[in-house]
Amino acid sequence: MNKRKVALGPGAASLILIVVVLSLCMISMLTQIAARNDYNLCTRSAEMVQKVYELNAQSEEKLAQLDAVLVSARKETADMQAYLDKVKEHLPEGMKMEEDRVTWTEPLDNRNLECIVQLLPIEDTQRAKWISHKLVVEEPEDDWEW
Amino acid sequence: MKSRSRSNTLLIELLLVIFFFMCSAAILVQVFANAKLKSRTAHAINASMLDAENIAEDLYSTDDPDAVLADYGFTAEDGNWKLQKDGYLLKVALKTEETESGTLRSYEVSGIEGEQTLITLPATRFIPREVSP
Repeated sequence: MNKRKVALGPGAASLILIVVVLSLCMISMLTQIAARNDYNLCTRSAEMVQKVYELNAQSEEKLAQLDAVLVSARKETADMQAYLDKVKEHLPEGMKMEEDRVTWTEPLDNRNLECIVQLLPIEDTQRAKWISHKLVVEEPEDDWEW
Repeated sequence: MKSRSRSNTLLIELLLVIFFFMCSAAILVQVFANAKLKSRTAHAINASMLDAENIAEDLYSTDDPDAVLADYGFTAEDGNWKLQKDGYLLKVALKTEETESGTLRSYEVSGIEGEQTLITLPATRFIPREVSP
């Protein structure tokens, strides 16, 4: 049998240690970066979803305020035009009225929820219905330099 | 004589290598553990967000929120509804406010991991009431 002698001279173990530790360092760094990016992305996504839900909640609260105005206006008059005038007079803050449509915007940071509600005729049991409920995102100006 | 001296040097070198490897391994294990923890939290945020969205939408569209929550497996505790999921807790708080023209129903769906609140989704629905002129 021809046995080959493995020679491990001084310094070989140190070299192997350096290679192994450097590799492990690289792997751990990449893992850490990936995990942090994943976490940041999830947090940001959660924040965005939360903001959209907050806007929706605000719009429903505003609708409740508008509906209170509609109820009191319906109690006061039976004529459609007079009813619309009364509603226009007592519209909650931040709302605009054009013909039978009431519009308002719910702002939150760079997001706006544009709401449009149609007022229904006095004979109708329902008082208002949603026409539009649109989320608009104002993108910040791109300041990247290519 | 020369051979013995060489063996001693090698032995000392190996001991030093093992010592440094142990030190670096201790630090690297901490880094890996930290990364795993972050990754797990990110997964919990994602999963709780999806669950919270589904529940909030279902609550928004239903007339009987208690039945919907019971269907999901929630149990009522201290005025809140709670459901333990894999790695996080879902909590729903309901609030009903009677207004002149209807009912304003507010829900707050939260995902909680340990002491940390991962996500809170507010959902409000206004249910108009028929009012005779």
